[in-house]
Amino acid sequence: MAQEILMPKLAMAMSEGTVNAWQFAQGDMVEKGQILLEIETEKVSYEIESTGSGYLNIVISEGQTVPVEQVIGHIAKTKEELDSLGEKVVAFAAEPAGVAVAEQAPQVVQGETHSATTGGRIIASPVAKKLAKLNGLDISEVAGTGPNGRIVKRDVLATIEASQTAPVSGASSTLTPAVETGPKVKASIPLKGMRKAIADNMMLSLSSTAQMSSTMEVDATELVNLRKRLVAKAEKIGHRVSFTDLFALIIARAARQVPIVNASIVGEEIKVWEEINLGIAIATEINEYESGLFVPVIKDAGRKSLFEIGREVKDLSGRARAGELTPEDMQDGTLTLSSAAFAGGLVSSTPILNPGQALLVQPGPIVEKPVVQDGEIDIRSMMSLNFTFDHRIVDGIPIGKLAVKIAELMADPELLL
Amino acid sequence: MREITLIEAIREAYIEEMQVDEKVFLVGQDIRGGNFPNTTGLVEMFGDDRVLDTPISETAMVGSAFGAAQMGYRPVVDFMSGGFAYVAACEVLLQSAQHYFQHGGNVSVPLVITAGVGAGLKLANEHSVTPHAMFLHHPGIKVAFPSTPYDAKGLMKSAIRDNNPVCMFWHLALMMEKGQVPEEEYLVPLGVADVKREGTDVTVVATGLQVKHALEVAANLESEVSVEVVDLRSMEPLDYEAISRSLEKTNRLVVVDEDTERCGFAAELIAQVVDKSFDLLDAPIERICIDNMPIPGGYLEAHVLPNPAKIETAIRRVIA
Repeated sequence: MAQEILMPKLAMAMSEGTVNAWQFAQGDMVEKGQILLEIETEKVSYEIESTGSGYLNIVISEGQTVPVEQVIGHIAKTKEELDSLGEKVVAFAAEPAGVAVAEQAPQVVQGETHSATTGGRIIASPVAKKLAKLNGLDISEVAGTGPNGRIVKRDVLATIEASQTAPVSGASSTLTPAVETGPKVKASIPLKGMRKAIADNMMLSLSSTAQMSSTMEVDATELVNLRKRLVAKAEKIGHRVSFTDLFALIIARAARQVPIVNASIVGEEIKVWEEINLGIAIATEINEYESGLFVPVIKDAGRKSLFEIGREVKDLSGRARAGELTPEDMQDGTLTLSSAAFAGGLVSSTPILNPGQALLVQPGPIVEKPVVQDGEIDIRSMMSLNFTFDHRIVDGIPIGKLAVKIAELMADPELLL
Repeated sequence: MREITLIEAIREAYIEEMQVDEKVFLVGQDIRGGNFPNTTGLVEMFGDDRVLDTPISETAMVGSAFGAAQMGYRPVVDFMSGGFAYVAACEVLLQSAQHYFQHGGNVSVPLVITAGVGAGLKLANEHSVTPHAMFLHHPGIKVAFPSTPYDAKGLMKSAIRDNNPVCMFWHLALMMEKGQVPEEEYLVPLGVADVKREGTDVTVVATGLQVKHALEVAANLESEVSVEVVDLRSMEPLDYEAISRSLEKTNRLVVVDEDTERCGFAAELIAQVVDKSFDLLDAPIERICIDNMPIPGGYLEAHVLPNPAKIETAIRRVIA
């Protein structure tokens, strides 16, 4: 019996993966332990090793996205076995990209059908194809629900309907200029991998939650002073403390005092999480057009010390930039510290929540400003903090409490110890 | 409106046409006595010259009628059972059917072939066969296969008035089927299908007894599936427009044809649909035919024939 090569499930939340590159060709002899292929999940690339030796049979060709646990290839013991595998046509439909996506917008999800012999042909009924064409719809955007995952008329109609209710919907949107007749195209960036994950998550977040943003200005003078003292002792401590470390600690501690901000809606309930798993948004630049965004998670940040957090931030951001984060690094976040505006010098923004979370905090830059205190004008280091919260879970009062806690900790950072 | 049986409707068609046109006459074996009640009493009404009993020779029956037709008569040849048409295949399919064309359109052959056909009476292959595919295969002869008394009478009258060969089969299992037939005269044109039941989910195309089966299934599935039943009534000329109109709505097709599946009319129709209406299809086409084996006699017969259960299965497959 030939061994099956499956699309691995690298994380609980992983529902599909993309075959990025096979390292061997169809029929090549491979050895146990050799890297067979690279797959890509929402945010990471992963190499799959051969679990046996034999002849490689490729079922899913490069660029195709398939559900986890799906057979993507075989290792055949003999040439004869390899030949017999080639005759099997594998056809299936990919499941929607994730459980949350399926609940929110089952219509516009990737639904490709593949076959071993045709190298990823999309199976759609004639009328479905015609209808998609008439409506300027990319048939590969449609999830097939017919026999063997065939895309049938009802699937196309559902997608068209979904695109009419969603304001931004790519090719079928009349808001988008026509590619052939409109402005000249400078570059085409495939909407896949991380870009697609970001796009899907942002849309999901805005379309499925009641987001509200607030900005506060806070005196960070004491925090700046504390950091100066800690940086001076960097060698002794073995770590150069960053503002991100401090913000992470402050937010985790403040959130412990206002537990409702560390919550999610699950089914018909709001679940308040015991652990504060703080996601740290890390932006990366890929090229002139493309940038990336990783949100690795510091698990149980509410109970960690400044230095534990600092070391984790350093480790995670280093691996993020090297593209070495694993799905485990990025899962189970319960609230998020964003860094984008902080880096760009933007003072105020309305960040978008990480889907499934109740709160995201985005620090602005620290700027010296004249501040009136006790009737005197003083120069203080001021910064803004932008909060976006899910108003379904949290009202203004807890956010106000959180802001007060943060301001207290900033004013007297020794409370952090 | 009054209700009469299908066989009585055909008898009325004979009577009406024989009354208005003295060139119309009937040829068959023991039709004066009447194996089937479609010719009962006609010899008393119209005389020996117009209701001809022949020896047991299908070749002679069609041969003499073919000659008479060339001379301007309008003979109706009653084969009694469709299986016997094979005996006179050359006279029917190559001589009568194609004579008009072989003679540059100068000699018409206003000949009608008719026979009771179809299985369900446990009579085994020769008395159960539906030979329409063989007729359809040969250009030059029109083929009708009604499912109701109304259509049977109207089509038979059109067949008799047609100036070239028409074959009208009627299903033995529908012989005593009653239906509304008006007293006043009417015709059902050849080559015009009839939507017997409107629906939106799936089109079932059928003829003869299978129309009845399809309607039965459609009624049973009413709460789940909206089935449109298109009764072709004629297979040549074929009312393709009616099929494509229906497919525009339903995008799904089941063809029920009471004939051996292999190389049958269903295969021909499906090929035409794939050719002309590919872009209308939302699912593979299903066909329900007689299994590719001789029709057995006795109780085994039921296992090879199309039936409502098989039609329902096919409908469920195409709407999956």
